[in-house]
Amino acid sequence: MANPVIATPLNEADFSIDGFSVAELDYSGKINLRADFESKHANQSLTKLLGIDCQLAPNTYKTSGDTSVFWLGPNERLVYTNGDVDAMVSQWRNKAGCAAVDVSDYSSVLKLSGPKARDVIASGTPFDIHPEVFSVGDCTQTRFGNATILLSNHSEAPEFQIQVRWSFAEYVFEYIKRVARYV
Amino acid sequence: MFIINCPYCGDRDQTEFSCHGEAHIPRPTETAQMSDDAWGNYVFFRTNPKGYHRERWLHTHGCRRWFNALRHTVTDEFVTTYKIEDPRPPLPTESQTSSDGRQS
Amino acid sequence: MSQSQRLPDELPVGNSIDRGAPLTFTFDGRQYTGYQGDTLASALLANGVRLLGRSFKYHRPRGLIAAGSEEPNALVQLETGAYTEPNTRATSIELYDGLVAKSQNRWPTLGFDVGAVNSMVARFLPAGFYYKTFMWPASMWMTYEKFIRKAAGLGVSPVDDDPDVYHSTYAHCDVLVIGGGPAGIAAATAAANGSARVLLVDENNQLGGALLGTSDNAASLAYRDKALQALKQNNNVKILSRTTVTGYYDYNYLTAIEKVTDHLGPGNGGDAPRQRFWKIRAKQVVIAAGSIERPLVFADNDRPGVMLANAVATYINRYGVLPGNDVVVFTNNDSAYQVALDAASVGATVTVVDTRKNISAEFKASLQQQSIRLFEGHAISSVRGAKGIESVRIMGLSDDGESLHGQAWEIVCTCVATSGGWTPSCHMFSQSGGKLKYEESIAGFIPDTTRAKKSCPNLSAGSCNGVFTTSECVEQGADAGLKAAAAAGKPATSTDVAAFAVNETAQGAIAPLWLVPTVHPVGEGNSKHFHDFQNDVTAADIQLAAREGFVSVEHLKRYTTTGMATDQGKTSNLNALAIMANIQGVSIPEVGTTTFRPPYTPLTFGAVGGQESRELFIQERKTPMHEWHVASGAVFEDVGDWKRPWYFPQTGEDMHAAVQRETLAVRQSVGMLDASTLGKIDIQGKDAVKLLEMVYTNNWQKLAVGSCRYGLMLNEHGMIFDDGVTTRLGENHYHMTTTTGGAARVMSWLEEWLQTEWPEWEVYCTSVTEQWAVMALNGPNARALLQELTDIDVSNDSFPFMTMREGTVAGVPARIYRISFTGEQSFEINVPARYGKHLIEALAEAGKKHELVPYGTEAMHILRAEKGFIIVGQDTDGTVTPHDMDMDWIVSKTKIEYLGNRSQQRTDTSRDKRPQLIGLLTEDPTVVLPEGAHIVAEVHDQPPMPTIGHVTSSYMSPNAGRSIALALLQDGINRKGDTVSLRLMDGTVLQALVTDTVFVDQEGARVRG
Repeated sequence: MANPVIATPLNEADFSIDGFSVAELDYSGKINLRADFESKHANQSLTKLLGIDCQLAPNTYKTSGDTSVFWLGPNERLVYTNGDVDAMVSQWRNKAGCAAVDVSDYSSVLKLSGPKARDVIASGTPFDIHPEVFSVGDCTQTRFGNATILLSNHSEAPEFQIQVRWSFAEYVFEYIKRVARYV
Repeated sequence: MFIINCPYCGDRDQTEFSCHGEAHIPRPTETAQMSDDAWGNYVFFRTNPKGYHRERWLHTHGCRRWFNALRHTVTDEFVTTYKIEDPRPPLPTESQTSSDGRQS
Repeated sequence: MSQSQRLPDELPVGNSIDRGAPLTFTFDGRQYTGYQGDTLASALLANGVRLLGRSFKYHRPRGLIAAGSEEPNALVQLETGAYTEPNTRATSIELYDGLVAKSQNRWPTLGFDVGAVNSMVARFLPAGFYYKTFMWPASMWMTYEKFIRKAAGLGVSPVDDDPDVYHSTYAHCDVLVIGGGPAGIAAATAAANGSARVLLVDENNQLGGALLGTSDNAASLAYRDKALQALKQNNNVKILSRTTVTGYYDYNYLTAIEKVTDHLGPGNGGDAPRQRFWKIRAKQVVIAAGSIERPLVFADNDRPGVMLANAVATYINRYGVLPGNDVVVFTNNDSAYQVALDAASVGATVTVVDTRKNISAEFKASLQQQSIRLFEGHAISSVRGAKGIESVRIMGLSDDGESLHGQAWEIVCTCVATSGGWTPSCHMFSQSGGKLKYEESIAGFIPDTTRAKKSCPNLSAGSCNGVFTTSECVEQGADAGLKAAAAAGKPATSTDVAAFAVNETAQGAIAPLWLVPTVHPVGEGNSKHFHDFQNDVTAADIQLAAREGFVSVEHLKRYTTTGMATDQGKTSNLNALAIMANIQGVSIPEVGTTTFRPPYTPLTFGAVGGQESRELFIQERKTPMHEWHVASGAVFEDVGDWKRPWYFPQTGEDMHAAVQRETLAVRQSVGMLDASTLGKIDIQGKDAVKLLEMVYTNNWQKLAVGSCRYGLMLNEHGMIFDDGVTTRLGENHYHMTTTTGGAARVMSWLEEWLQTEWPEWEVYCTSVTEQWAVMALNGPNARALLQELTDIDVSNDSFPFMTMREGTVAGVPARIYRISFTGEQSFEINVPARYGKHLIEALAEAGKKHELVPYGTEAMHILRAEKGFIIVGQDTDGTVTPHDMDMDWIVSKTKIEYLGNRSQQRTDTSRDKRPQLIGLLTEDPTVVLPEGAHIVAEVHDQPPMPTIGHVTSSYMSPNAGRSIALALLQDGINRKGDTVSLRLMDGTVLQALVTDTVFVDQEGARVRG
């Protein structure tokens, strides 16, 4: 049998306009982690597994190598990794008091860059992304149009990432393209 | 359009939230032994105060955590928000805020 | 006529226009010329056009009154076709080349208007006329309404699709400053002196506010430019011109409309949106919205040529247009004196009529210098000229202001510049929830800061706060800016605002005169005293309302319509309140004020929607297989936000044919359905089974790893809430499915219980709906087809019904659930979403020799109905228990606690003769009952007929070879075998047999085969 075709929600589409670019990123493994991260035990085992201290301040993320951990909630983290997701999930799932789910395919990740990126994002989200309140290393779940997104700040350049559920990806991408012309 | 202080994420726009009605309505135990009236009271009856109201809110488009809020239903003033496990905050005395919510 | 009223270039006026850039425009079919920088109003006035419209109720000829957005009269129909926009204020339209506008509310022409007959019958058109006349008999309202709607209203709504695009966006700031006049600029400058993020918003095309209309022009503009330059260099400051704050809501959420390209003319904006809707969240707001001059309410004060005094000055100074060569200034305060001087200085013959006596020697001297005649203690008693003022008659005014006396003087004039004083613009403060207080010294309401709404911290500064000189406005603005920045947590150390004053005569010692008497009592004789021009309301209407008992100010507003509609009482509000106070013999504050409503000025729906229009109006959710469906010719159905294939028509097939073919194929060969939209929830933790036990009605303790079970969820009312299949993946690991529409609801439901009621349980729920792409294979050939593609042994022995196996399908990792929503042999293949497209292509290819048919949601509905499987939300409606659905088999008899348990025993849920799900077979097998059709207990010729149930699902079933239906029928289970009657909307009565709900394969052999 021929190698399976791997599709992303947007087939890695991109779009550029003067002062703004958006592109869908290729897959990385994604794991939803649940645990009591306040507990030393849980945190130590996760740190060992990922090499990142998962005791994050709310609405921040940490990156080490090609692994990132995002705060989603007090007992919820999202891991981006290029490692072996299956192995990580089953290791983690077997630890007492923890849960891990492979959500690699759950969402699309868009990279937004260029001087107009803030204005594009502000068109759809009521969350204030001014650098003094949302700086590099910050992330948040919020609303963009009618979609829930995970927004993260990756560079003062600026560069942002928006993660959105697969089924909403086209809506969000078209929304971004439309407002990019208006800002 | 409110600003609501999510106990986990801080001040956020109202459109990130949804309201799920009166807070502090625990599910009864031993339901089989309950009278129709007692059960009906749990299922159907809620207070609807003109004034301070403890409500359950969900940060729908955010951290997806439930929390409680103490809100004035006339002025929409959020006195405080608190985590589910936190004790009920006391009601402000009416002298602090007059009934129409204006500073006195 | 070529700009006959335009002042010569030599005069130091007309700072806003560019005489080197002439523009051509059309009004009521006639071509005129104006200049770049004109408004439509100033250009028309320059051309001597005074008659701009007909009034709302009496169709009286009307002209310009104002120069800004407070204009109540000059509402025009702008542009034509798809670009047309009604009720635009000529004073707010920036002139562009080729502009086309029409006057409104006149037929057939502006000069000769048939509707003006209303004016002659005006004594029969008093306040509340429509309420009184047309409300009885109620049945006739439908008849009256057509005529009233035609006669009323102003402009005409566009009927074509809006060709423009709009943008909406959020903005955040520490300090929002509303208004870019002297106070606003000072506030922004002061606030921005620290690190505060400042947003300065002004509705005009250039900032400056009142500075733009003063004769002290050069100094004013130089002062403004210097301040603005400093602001523009500050990265923390954003300045928006052509932007009107329209609404002020809770927690300092404000909306504003920016006219981005309106001034370029239709279709000339390029890629830019026509308008932008700003949704602003400000920590602090400085309201520097200025003030609006009030007209004096004298007899026939609505004649074209009667204008607000400051408007006359603005047209002269800003646009170089003299509204009339002979000007009568009629005032009760000082501010109009400068207007008189301005008009005289450009060559007008000016007369000042002041209701006050004892005018200061200083004023008298300056008038004398310009040869301006002054009448002290006089008032206008009447005017001449219907379509344009020709002269006024003035008489002495009694000391109490109640009557006129002495000799009448007739003064020839073409313009009356009237000033009844200045009304602070408290709209924004009022909208924010603040209350106003009456300030005697200025005869007006100002914000009462002690009664501001807590959640809307703001400060008012400048003339909207009751100070009227430029220097005071600057001072107060700077102070407010400083305070606002500090309150926002970004204090500035110094204000850095330069003091500034201009040559002006501010309101000064006003002598309120709310209603100018005439020789007849007001309301008698032919003359009318208008206080609300837009809504055509007169002082006599207020008197009538008072006589009829409408003394509450809110009742007065609604009964007379004063202060309503797009005008929101900008020029009329205070006059109306004062006239009412006078009638009742109470003070103005005792009458109180009405609440100002958003929007401050009209705004387009398009702008409010912004980019969220057309394809972006509602999100369209798509599955990983969507492209394949499109390529295969699917017709889509909206299921919630999802686009799901409804059916796949082949060439020449209509919907019925396609659906019948698909439905047959599933039971005869094999069909495939995209089931990716079903909600999927991953549940882990040692207490996972406890959760399932609570949320489902049946037992979950003994479910083996690798096995699946159907479950029904109830809410605490005991009503069916959702259903689905849950599979045990591991010791403490489950995979739950929900209905497509219920996915988010169920996820929230589980989380709510876990977080609020059972926080000590160790259970984690994670939505995995989009992690998995799902194809359901259904039909007798399903196994053979699947076996070709998978390494899993799919034989019945090793992979029985209601179990799950993991392996690969078409070379990619998969979980296969052997569950069925059709009653056929069925496999639901789940692969990671990235392989969804690959999976469907592989199935389609391998399926060729198995006569695989893709089918959509319609065939799915028929197939499940043939088996009597319910759809939550179609066969249930939130009032239906498991017993009503004849599903007692799924309710545990041993389990004590689960959600909704106790409600099963409530008297109402356990009573006899509740509606219950049954099957219906029509007498005529070719007739398909309409869903929703009522089953009636007795058939009458006419409704009402007692109803005992209704049809919930109804289809032509190719597999049953006839029509089938599911229905809720009172005591239905006991009525099986009975014949019932259904009465349709068109009166047809049909008979149907009450049956079991399973129409195909009653033994259920196929699903296990």
